[in-house]
Amino acid sequence: MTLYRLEGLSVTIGDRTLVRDVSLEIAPGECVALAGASGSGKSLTSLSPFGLSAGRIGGSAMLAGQQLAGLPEADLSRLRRAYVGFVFQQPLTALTPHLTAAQHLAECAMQAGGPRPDRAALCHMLEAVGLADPLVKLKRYPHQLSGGERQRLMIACAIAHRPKLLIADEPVSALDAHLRGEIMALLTRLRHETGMGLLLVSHDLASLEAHADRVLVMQGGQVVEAGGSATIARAPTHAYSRALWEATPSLRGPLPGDLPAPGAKLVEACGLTVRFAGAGLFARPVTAVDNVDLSVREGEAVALIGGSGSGKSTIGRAIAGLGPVSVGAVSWRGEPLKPHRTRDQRRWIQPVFQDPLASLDPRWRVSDIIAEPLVHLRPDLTAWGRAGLVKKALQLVDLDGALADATPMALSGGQAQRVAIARALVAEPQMLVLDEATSALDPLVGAQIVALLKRLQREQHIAMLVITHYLALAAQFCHRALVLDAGQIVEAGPIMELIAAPQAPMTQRLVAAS
Amino acid sequence: MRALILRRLLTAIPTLLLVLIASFALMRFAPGGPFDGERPLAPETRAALEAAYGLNLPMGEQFALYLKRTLTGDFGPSLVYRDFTVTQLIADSLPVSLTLGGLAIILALALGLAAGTVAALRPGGWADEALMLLATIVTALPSFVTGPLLALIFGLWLGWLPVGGLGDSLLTAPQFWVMPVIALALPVAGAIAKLARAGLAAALAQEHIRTARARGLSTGAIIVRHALRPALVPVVSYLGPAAAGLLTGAVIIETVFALPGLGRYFVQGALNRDYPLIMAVILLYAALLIAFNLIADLLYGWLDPRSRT
Amino acid sequence: MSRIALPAIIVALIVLAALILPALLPWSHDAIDWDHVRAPAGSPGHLLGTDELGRDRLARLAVASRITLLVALAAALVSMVVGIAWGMIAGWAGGRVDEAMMRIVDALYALPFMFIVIVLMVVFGRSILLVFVGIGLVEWLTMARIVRGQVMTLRQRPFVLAATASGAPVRVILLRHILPNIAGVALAYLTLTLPGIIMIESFLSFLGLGVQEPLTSLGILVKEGADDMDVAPMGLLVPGGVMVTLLVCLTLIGERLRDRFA
Repeated sequence: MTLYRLEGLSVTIGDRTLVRDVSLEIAPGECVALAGASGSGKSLTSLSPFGLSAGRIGGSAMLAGQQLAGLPEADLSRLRRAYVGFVFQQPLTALTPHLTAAQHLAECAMQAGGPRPDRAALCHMLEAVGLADPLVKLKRYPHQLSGGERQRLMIACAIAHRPKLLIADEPVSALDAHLRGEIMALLTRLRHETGMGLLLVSHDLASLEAHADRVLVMQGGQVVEAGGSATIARAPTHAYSRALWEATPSLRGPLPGDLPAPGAKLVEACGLTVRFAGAGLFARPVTAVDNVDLSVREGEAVALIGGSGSGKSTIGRAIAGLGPVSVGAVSWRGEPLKPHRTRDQRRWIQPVFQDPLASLDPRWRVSDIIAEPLVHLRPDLTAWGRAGLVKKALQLVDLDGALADATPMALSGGQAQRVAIARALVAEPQMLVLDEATSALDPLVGAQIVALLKRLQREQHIAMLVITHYLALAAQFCHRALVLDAGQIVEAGPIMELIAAPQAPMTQRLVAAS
Repeated sequence: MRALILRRLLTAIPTLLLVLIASFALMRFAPGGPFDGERPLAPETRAALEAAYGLNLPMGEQFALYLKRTLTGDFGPSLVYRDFTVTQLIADSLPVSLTLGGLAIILALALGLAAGTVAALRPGGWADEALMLLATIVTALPSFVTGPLLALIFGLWLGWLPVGGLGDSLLTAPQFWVMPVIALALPVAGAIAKLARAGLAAALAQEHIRTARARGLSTGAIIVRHALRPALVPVVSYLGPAAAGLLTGAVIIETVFALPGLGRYFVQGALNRDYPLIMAVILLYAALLIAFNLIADLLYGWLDPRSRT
Repeated sequence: MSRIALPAIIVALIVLAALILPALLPWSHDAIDWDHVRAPAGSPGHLLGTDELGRDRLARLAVASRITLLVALAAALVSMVVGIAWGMIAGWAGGRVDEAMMRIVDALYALPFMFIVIVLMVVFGRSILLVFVGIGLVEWLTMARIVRGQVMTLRQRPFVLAATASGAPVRVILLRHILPNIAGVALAYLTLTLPGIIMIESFLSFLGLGVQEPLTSLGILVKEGADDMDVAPMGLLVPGGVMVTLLVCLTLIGERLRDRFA
């Protein structure tokens, strides 16, 4: 008995057909996943039949025997209210900020006509999704909960009225790596307990094998491959599916063994502590980084891994001379390095940031952006000399010289990040600090940037401090890793050992999520 | 919440102190002030002033005296209205201004919120464009143009409403209040309409509205429970400046329609250099503005819990 | 873009007329035509008639528009320079400096500035310079707040950090990275402060405190028209109409610019 069936579904916005000929079936208790890069049409496919996105649908969409295509909004609303629950990607923006958790839950529990739940029932709902201290959490507003707690609340709201079908649109993409595994496991457990069907939209392919029964890979609005999740994960046939899987490193896949050997010690931080003044009139200072030791050698890539708020970006900035240092010392080849850097000192370490478009001045041209470090750090060069180095930098990152006159608005995410890397390389630094350099990029584009970084590592012997929350990514080209939690280092060592035998609980969660 | 009130009061004190010092300095040293000898003062007034200000005391003690008298609400005699103290003048005219302002803000909120909501429900539609253009025109109309215009049309030409002055009271003679309140309220109503429309349109475009729709809630429930509070944020943020606008607008309206309110006394006092009166009015208005801003901040905290750090 | 074009064209026409007309008209704005006092529109030599003293209304309108626009622009520039400087310093410095500077802004915001300006006018006399400066000092607070907000947002953007990493000194970052990026917002709010300034000037003139004879402004014309409105309503409606048109067009332009940049 099928719970939800799509046959030949198409979605049109205006006069453009964005999704074409999608067919799938979900039985009660089953999980079907839609995978693909952004723009593949997976969100449209999952939300349009229920009237929650801008598109109009063609073809057939049957929910428990009821045809959804062509239904007016009032009827769709009635069906959503009674039978379907939704989990969205960004719980911070998806939950009304001025309602408490209790108010959200009560509204959802009553939406299908149920009675107003009492305090005990509300606590029970929060416990069912794994939230501790339910009485305290009930009085909180969404912005007062952590990312993981918010998503659990969103899930609790989505199932409060006991829907038959749950639609989860990228439920874990906005969460830190170590939380993803837990939330996916929660969804699977709920599915088994209640017999709910689950339509999962995701680009986190690593988790699909364990949590989905069947997978449909989408590209450009069409399904290019469909089958059992195990088959597709291990042996994808279509070229796009293969590219997608390869672009998403996981610890199950092969790991590189031959990384170039590191040389002498470059940067060393001892007892690094960074404190910030608290917000508000009477707040206490916040310790973002607590007594951290780290070192990077020539040609070595060291990974700094942790969730958001763990202090990794703060460490990166302190080392790059872009952020404050409260206690402790940073040294370069044995000489102390103060937070306020001289011109020559700036040449040694250069940063690459997470959001490529935000790291380029929107009003400058690409050639000026790349030349900026030269203007200040190489005053000995003439304009002609600078232009030559800019050209070299563009070649180094595989960018077409014609882009030199473009502004950032005309660039794609991948191109923009290459420009940022070119700018970082143009002054010939000895070390790069990469702060989540691929997190904001599409998986396929991100894989290209990683390939570029590996090439630079091999050919230029540049040292790298790689800040990321993605352990499997770091394993592709890093020698050592330090795991950070709440400003402190909980585990450190060669990355292979960390993966093989994680000691700290944080590390174990990271490994499990990969 | 408490921290916010505390912070506001802490900021308010230096402001009021600033005003007090400035007013004291102005009174003692400004040309044409009461102590210049430029104008002849009646001996009783002179005696009262000297007693009030202790002119023979050292400067610091004079200021302390002035401070003490201000805190007890004694602003001294008016220089222009010989038989009255400033406090009496204020007490007589403040109710008129407060009524005018109070009615104006109620009217402005009613009109503005209604227009803004209608416009926001169909953004880009003809009602939206028409209402917003009307709102822009209305905010660009200075009250000293609308006031006389209304008086011209409804007072002189049509003869429906009296052109100036005040009847016995609001309840027995409401016709005297109609045009002044409308002229005062219009620019504020226009601004509120634009802000309400922007606020509601922005609130309805947010992601959490999609979640509310996903829950199958009715349109009314979505608007009232999920969109209304964020929509009101820009309107509430405007309440402080709105109060300021009403205060200045009231000055003009009272002059145009010959209403015996505080604003009119202020203008007369300014033109006639009645410094005690001027300074008392400024102090009063500063205090009112601060109070209004505080109310607006508190409301703002209720509307958006995220701002309550 | 047509939403800016129409109001912009209207404003341009008014500016043009204000600049050119006085040179073309036979009567100047303060010359008295003893033969034609209170002449209706269309009288010889007086397209819009004359006022109660025999002065040509059209010439007065043109000169008044000039003065009003001049005052508005000068005051707006004062407010812009002070506001941008204040906002940039506070936004960039952050921490205690920012807190102190913004507390001052908050304290000044609470003052009923209108009244302070009036008092200053009364005490120190009525020079047109004081009118510019006084009005400009009223409006800079909002500009400072907005610029400070923008600068704080931009300061956290990675491209500013990257500029620091490239060795750029603070001076260079502020001038070449931050300023160009706030220019759009500053311009939009500048266009929005112009209507406010024109209103303040008119208000002052209405009370007899703004621009003084022999000069005239739209505010003065409206006041004279209001005083006279039972006899010659056009004396109120025409200058009032020009003022309202100017205000509405400037507001529309400012809003469109703000929507584009902020």
